[in-house]
Parts: sequence; structure tokens; C-alpha cells
Amino acid sequence: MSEDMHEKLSTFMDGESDHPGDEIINWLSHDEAARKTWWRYHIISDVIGKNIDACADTQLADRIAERLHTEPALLIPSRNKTPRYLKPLAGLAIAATVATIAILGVRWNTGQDIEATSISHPVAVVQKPIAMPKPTLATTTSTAQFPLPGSARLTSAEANNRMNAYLLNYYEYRTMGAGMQGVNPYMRIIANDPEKE
Amino acid sequence: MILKKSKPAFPPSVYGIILTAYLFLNQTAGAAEAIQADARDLLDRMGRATRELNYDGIFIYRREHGMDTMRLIHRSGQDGETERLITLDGQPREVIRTKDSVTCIFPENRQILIEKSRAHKLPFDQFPEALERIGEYYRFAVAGEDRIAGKDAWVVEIVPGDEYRYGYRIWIDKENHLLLKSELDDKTGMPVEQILFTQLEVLESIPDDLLKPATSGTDYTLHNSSTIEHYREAKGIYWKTGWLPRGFALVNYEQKLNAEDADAVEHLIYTDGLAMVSVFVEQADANPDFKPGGQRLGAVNAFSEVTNGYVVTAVGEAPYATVRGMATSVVSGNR
Repeated sequence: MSEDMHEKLSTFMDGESDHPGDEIINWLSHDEAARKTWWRYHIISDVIGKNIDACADTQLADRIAERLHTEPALLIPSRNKTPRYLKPLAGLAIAATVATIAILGVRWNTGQDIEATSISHPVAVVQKPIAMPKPTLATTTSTAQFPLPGSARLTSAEANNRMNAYLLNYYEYRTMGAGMQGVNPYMRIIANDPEKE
Repeated sequence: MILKKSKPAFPPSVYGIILTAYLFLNQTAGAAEAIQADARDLLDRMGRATRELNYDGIFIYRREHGMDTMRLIHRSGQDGETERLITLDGQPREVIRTKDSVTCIFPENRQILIEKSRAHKLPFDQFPEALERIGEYYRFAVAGEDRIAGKDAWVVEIVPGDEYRYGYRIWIDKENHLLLKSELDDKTGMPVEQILFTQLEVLESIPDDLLKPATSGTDYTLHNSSTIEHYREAKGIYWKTGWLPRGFALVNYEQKLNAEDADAVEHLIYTDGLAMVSVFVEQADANPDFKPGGQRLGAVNAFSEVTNGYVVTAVGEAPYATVRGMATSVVSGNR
């Protein structure tokens, strides 16, 4: 799978284009891994920061592909390269996104303030707004502003880097009981760095 | 003697209101104490569940630069903990942690880094009591209930007392007390890092195959620190920080040797019971890659500078001001 296809898929899912384009359709129709990617991007997009369950249908993409294969070919010439019957698919995806946002919007508006209720009976938790930029794929470049002066990314891929040795020493103690438990600190060492890709 | 029935100073209804108010306030105070205790108890249970259960889950790790999907497999047994963490996006990097070592695999440049673990040698018996201390520097509360990855969860909020430590919101599985979601917040309360499990299963056992690396290591360059580094007990405190946030204390001091004839890298570990900061000191000549200033990786901040020919680096899951303040205040003691 090329990074270019990932980027086009990301652009379409972000709503920056009206239709996915023939390339994406073909890619999703013929490549099971591509459909898995499509599904995973939706999961990520839906669950992050929105506090909803990971309820996406893993078979949906496969069923769409199967339907496309069995769909009778349209013999009427089209001005647009994108078959008309695919338009509703794009519309469906966008509508689903809007519906999700609408549901979350209701929850946000009706939620109670955490500070005011922290000593009373437990209530549904209100999601805080996320300060970070919207989810980006690993193949795209983040536009987030780095807040620290003289900042630089720790070079996670350079195995012999001195800072990595410091980090490993630090994490070794973290996993032994020091600091907040339950959170695996090594994820930071192997996390992909978009700026290096 | 005539017993005269005294007339109440107030109508009976007033006494009723006072009694009701007393009972309500008493009950509210009791409930507040109970929930405060529950929050810390939940965190304690989460720490134990994290170490003692077998589980396999997929989570999303999000920070300011992007996010990754990762799989975490954890086994607890007679041989101690074994854990395998794999990135599911981009390069399939791995970290495998056993009681003896930590192995990091970077397929993009075909390198493997092995760090010898010294968990069984370190005096960490002092840390289980840490939760008792930290009530002075953080406020704990059960903020509510929620549902994550199809599981019911308690939400615990940890609010720092000042700007030198992060706050947390932790979602803990009601059934098995594993972490389902966490947010690490800056001083304004905005998340700087998130972890969210989309799938998490507690299992009776974990097969060995699930804990083996995906690569055999052929054609990989191996950096095995356990063969070139060793540790010795420090005979004195040679370095110390001149400034610490309130509540932080030195809990360990060690010297790590990079080679037989090399000067040691000194490692000072400070904690307030929840946040932890490491301070490393080594001779400037031994560190040609040194770049002064601040760096950041998710919620971990680092700050380095040169002091009297030594490179001092503070690393910690703490705000930038904390690591910078500690690194720039380090002074040498008596050798």
C-alpha cells in the first residue's frame, strides 16, 4: 500500500474531498488490507476524544467491496469519472460522522461540571475539549506547533542514542512501581514519529 | 415538686430542620471521605491488576504530534512479568520486557537495543507507601462512571496542587481494575497525552508465542548494554539538586558505568510519590551527541545543560518547568 493512497484516503475521510476517487475505490475494492486500514482509520477517528465505544463493523468494508463486485456494470456514459452509485457511499460516511458529532454534542451540552460533582454521587463524565490537533495519520505531516523553546523530538529510532539510554533507565524505574502505574511508558519509545517519515 | 413542662424555644419544625441539616452534613462529609479513599484504593488496585493479570489489548496512544495504535500483551507468572508492546501503525516496532531485560526492536534501521533489567536488585519496597504521601500534593476524587471499549469504568481524577506536576484522569475497569483510558493534563487542565484501549481481554494464560518478537534478529545490529554497562553502589552523594518542587525527594542514587575505564553516569531519582524525575550527570567529553535545551516525547520532558564540564539532564513525566528547574539547579557535592 503506498503512502499516497493512505494520504488520499485520509483526505477523503477528513471531508476535504467530495468523493473518494477511482483510485481509492479500486484500492478498497480489491485489497483486503486496504479495507482493514479504512476500518481502522474510522475506529481511530470515532473513538479518540469522543468517548464512544469502538463499535465499528469490521465486516462493513468487506461487504461494501463484495457489493461493488456484484453490482451490474453501468453502461451509460458518465461525465464524472466517479460512478454515480458510489456517491451515496460517500454521503453515508459523511452522514455517519455528522450523526456521531450530533450525539456527542448532546452529551456535551447536558453534562455536568466535574468539579461541582466530584464529591457527590458519580455521574456521567464530561469530555474535555482536546487541545491537540485533530487526528492525523502517520503518513501525513503534523502542523502542530511545538511549544517548547529549542525543542526537538527524541530520536526514538536511533537505538544507540544517549537520550534513549536515559529514557530506558527512566522507564525501567517507572515500571517498577515509581510514578503512575497502569500506563505503559515504553509506548513513547516505539511510537512512530511523523516528522521522521 | 411540680414538674413544669418547659415551652420549647422554637417550634418543633425548626428542630426538625436543624436535625435534618446536621444529618445531611454529617452524611455528606462521610461520603466525601469514602469517595476520597475509594479513588486512592482504585489506583492501588489498578497498579496491582496491571502487574498481576494476564491480558491482551489494543490501544491508541495520542500525543501532540500524532497517534499510534499499539497492541499490549502482558503475562504474570512465576518468572515474573513478561510484556510485549507492538506498534500496529507504520514500522512494526516492539518492546519486550522481562524480569531480566528490556528489548527494543527498530525494524526501519534494523537495530535491536537490549537493556539489562535490575528490577530485583532495586530498593523499591519504599514505593508502595507512596500513595499515602501524595495526598498532600494531589487531590484525588472519583469523578464519575463511564463506559470504555464496552466495559464499565470508574473515572478517577487526580488534580495537582501546583504547576510542577501533571494531573491525570484515569478510567479503571470496574470488573478487573485494569486501566482502560488515561489522560495526562497540563496546568490548564488540557490533555497532553491520551491512552485509550479499544479492546482489552483478561486471559487465563498467555501462550509463549505471543510474547516472542516478530523478527529473528538476522541482519540486525545488536546494542546490548548489559555487556558494556554495569552498575555500582554509590559511596556518596556527589550531586544534588538545589531546587525541587514541594514533596519531591531523592529515592535512589546509582552510578552506571559505560565501560570499565569510563567515568560513571550518575543517576538520581526523585519522586513525589506519583510523578518521577531522573537526573543524569556525566562528563561532557563522554557525550559528543549532547544538545543543550529542552526536548519532549509525549508527556515526558527533558532538559539538558552543561555545568562545570558535566552534562546534566533531567528526564521525567513532569512539566517542562519541573525538569528545567531541577536540571539547572544541580550542584556538585563533596567527592
